Amino acid sequence: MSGTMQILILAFATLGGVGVYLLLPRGQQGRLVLGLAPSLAALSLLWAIWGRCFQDVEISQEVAFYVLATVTVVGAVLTVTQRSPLHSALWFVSVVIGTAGLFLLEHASFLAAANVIVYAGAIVVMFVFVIMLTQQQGVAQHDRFAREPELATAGSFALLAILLTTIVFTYHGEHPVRPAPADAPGIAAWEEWDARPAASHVAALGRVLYTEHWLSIELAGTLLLVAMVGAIVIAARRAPQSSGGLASGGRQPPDIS
Amino acid sequence: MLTNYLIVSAILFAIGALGFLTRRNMIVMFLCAEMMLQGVTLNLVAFGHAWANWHGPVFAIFVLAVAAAEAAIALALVLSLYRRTGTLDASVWQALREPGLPPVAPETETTSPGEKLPTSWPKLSPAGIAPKHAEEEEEEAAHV
Repeated sequence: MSGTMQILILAFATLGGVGVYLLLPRGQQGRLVLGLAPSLAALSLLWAIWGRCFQDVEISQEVAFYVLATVTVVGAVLTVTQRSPLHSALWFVSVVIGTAGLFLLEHASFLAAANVIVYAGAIVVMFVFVIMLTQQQGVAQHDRFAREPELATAGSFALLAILLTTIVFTYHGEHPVRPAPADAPGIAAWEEWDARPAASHVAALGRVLYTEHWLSIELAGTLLLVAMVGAIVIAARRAPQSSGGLASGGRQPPDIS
Repeated sequence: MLTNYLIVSAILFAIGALGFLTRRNMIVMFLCAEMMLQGVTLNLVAFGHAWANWHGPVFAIFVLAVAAAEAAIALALVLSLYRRTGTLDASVWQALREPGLPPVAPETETTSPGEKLPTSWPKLSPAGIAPKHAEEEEEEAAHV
């Protein structure tokens, strides 16, 4: 069992690395099709890994997990590999929606809503605004060429392989995932906790948030206010029109002194 | 079930790190940083769910708030950097590197063989005689 799992994880990381490396922008368009085959193979290996990790879960939950997690992972790969930053931002929305669905599967309904509202509704719209403000015609040179794609892909997929191995061999199999209800006061039984309606989850979350974490809430609010004021100050300031300004469209670095 | 959520969040984190390291557009770099934060949030919620503990979702809410603040500041900074150089390329700022280090990216534009650069000629109204482009004038000057 463990040997097969290790081989699966290593094969997934290798194939995924090759696929993402080929998909990364490097000027040529022809490699896109070439990178598709290893990426799809890696995706099917990922399905195999997920399938081995499921233990006595309802089939509906399992299907929902497969769909949402696939949307998330595919969206993540496309966010990184798209040449146009606008397309990247739109694929990031699919990551956000997939994650929100996974939150719903984990009974975190408030966080699912907040994720969609804050990320897809506010942050991505802000990104798209900035892209519209700054986009030149066509796809710019720095979007068509990745920086050090070999090293970056090898490094991050090695990290991924290590993370997956650690996760799978720590949390899979003999270890009981949940402690006995006696260890968690206030919870009668896990089934009851899971079966609560969503409204009571939100109410319980709010109670914890505004009793145990009230100081952090105040600090977070202050942080948001400071960030808003800072963003206005930074964005509203007129930059000195140095020699390589907008008009010449030059690539030369500005006068730093 | 917990294992699978952790796997998804690890994939989000690793791919976000890959994008942050390898993309050169500053906006896409920040998108990738947000993607890493999504992975971390998913991790926190999964652990909170697995141990029936509310501190996981609470942490995730704070991560969300900090991500919003960070995105606002980062995009304001990106805008002001863009106003200075006219480009979103992060490697333009390699001039800030320590003395004696090699450049991390070519200083001039490069193209792969057989690739056409997107050109943008000035758009003119159809009336009158079209003026010559700078390159054609140079060619003529070379012939004369």
